[in-house]
Amino acid sequence: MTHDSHAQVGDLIEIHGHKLGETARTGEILEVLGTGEHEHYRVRWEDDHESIFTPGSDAVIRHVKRSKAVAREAPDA
Amino acid sequence: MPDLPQTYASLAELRVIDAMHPGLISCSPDTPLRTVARMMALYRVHAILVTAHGEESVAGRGGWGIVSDADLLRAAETGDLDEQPSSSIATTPVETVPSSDELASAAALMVEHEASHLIVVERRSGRPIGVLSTLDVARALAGFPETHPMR
Repeated sequence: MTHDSHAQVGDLIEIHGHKLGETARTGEILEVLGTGEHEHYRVRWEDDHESIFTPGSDAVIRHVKRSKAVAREAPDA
Repeated sequence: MPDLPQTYASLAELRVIDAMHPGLISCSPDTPLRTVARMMALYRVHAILVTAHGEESVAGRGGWGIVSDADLLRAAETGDLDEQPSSSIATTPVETVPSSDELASAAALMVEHEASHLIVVERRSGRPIGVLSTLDVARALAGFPETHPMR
């Protein structure tokens, strides 16, 4: 698997096709399971089915940008 | 649907959903067999599904492959599991069965195709939701004994 850091919940995972013309398959990571080289995921795929998925070298993690929560002060009473 | 032999009489009134295991454990075609073996051990299952996509997908059947523990043993006998991807030994396609089907007809399907596992799908959407194994059918034939006596 190629990725620059560990996946987080909400990231996307793509499995690339093995033959010319095959489209990539994409899913959303719902849960990160295991650690280190044994990391695997619970994934919801495009067709809405879920699986516990162990990627191979054909899988790529796409990190989803997360907006930082902005703390707001409560208005003066 | 194949004729149901008398031996399936004890499965009468049961549906696939009564015996199946919900959830899917899968890997990609490039996942090494060593990792597949680890997943089997970790989740205590006898088979791991191999996802298919693109042109390999077959409408209504999903185009899945499957690697069983017996397949793994054969692969380990002749080569290094780290060097062999799941796709190199996966059986394809895997038969599917709707969750609302009679369990007896699913058992007949397993016999007909010499399949140890079927992917269970929702009839309406075709979405895979779980797996039915020969062990699941055996449990049904035995009247669903509740717990292992040694646990």
